[in-house]
Amino acid sequence: MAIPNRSQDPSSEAMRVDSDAISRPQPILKLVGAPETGSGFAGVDSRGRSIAAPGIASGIAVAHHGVLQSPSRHTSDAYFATIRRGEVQKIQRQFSSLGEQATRDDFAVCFHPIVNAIRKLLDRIADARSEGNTREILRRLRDTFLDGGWARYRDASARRAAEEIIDFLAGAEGVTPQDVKWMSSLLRAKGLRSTGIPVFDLEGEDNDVEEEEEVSD
Amino acid sequence: MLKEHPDRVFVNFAVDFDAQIGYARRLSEAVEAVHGRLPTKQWACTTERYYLRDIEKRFVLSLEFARIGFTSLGLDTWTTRMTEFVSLFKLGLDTMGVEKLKRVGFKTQAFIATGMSHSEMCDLMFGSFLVEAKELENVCGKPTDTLVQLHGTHKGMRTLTVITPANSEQSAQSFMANPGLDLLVEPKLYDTGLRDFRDRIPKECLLIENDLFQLDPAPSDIQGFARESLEASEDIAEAVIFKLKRIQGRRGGRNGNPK
Repeated sequence: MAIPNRSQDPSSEAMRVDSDAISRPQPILKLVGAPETGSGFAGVDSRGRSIAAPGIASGIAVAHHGVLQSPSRHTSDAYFATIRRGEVQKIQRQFSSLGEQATRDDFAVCFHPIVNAIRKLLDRIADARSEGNTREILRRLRDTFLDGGWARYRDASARRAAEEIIDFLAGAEGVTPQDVKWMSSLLRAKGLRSTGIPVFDLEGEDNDVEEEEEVSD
Repeated sequence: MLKEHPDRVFVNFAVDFDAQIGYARRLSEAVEAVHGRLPTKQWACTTERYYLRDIEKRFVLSLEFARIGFTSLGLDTWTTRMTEFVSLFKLGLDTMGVEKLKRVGFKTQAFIATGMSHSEMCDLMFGSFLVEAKELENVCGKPTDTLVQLHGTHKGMRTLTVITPANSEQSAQSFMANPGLDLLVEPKLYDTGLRDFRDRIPKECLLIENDLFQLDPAPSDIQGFARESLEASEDIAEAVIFKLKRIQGRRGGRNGNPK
């Protein structure tokens, strides 16, 4: 009997795409050899969403292997919303002092505690299903600080835009996908890039670049 | 906050004074006068105290030689008929010849649903009403439950506020510890009023007990105190919830999602 493909199994949602998530248990599917495979068949360990499985296994053992976080006692939406508000209020206070530092040569270092605080908050609300939109906004906002993006925040209008976002997160009961949209629009309008990827110019390549000479055989 | 959950609030109002000479006779006259003004005619008495009971509206007026009091299951009765009750207090005091008061107080016991479990609320007490839990490890190890009692003043009234997360057992115990609950039900074996109130209490809630009082007030101050204490109780309960849930906003205000 062919082993069913477990990639559609909801229990395998342990595979997360959230890059900020802490280590999650990954399912391991171990195929146990049948007599037909011979004594030399050691079985197959497979990690991942789907596997190409031979149809001659006689048994299946599924184990979860990885760094497991002990199950949290705290699961309510109201609790995570409170955590989010409290931590964002701390970020709010840190951010409010940036205006006085905007002319410093080492202005970039002022963002380190803010980026750190955002990272810790993302980790803390990683389990909260109701805070997915919050995590997205925090990631996009954080990314505007990185890769030289902090320099834009010397401009007061850029700081005001970020403050508006932080103020919202510091008080909101819930965060919706519409909130993600208007905040992204706000960041874009102020030239604050959240991808951190430099936009390169496809037209007008530099023709003065020396081409490497072919090496003769 | 209290007005949003009026059926989960236990209310007490009391005026204390020194006993007057001839108090036994004067007390009977005061009870008769007050009883005549109440639509309900159910009453009970002990050697020291009279109770005028309205089972339908779930409130009791008590009159004794040194105190006139009001107790109700739920806040609505007090909120809507406060002026009437204050006038009854004044009638009783005048009939007893009381000119000087010792204390006037308003106490609420509110069981507020927060959408969180008992352990979550305990966790959030740290960093809001208490220092962070790790700073108390040397004192109590890993804390599992919390209770905060605060004394203060608010607009000329003294306040005593107790804030504690409560599980279903704790909230039931706190409610049932109130004296004289049996006076609010009739017949006692069949009336489910107390059980209904207890069942309305959320399984896990934030218990906020708030006692506001003034010492040596003038009898003419009772009406003003009744109004201000109700307002203050509402403000304090809201401030407690806002603080626990880290909601920014001035006392008495709301903080909604901005557009």
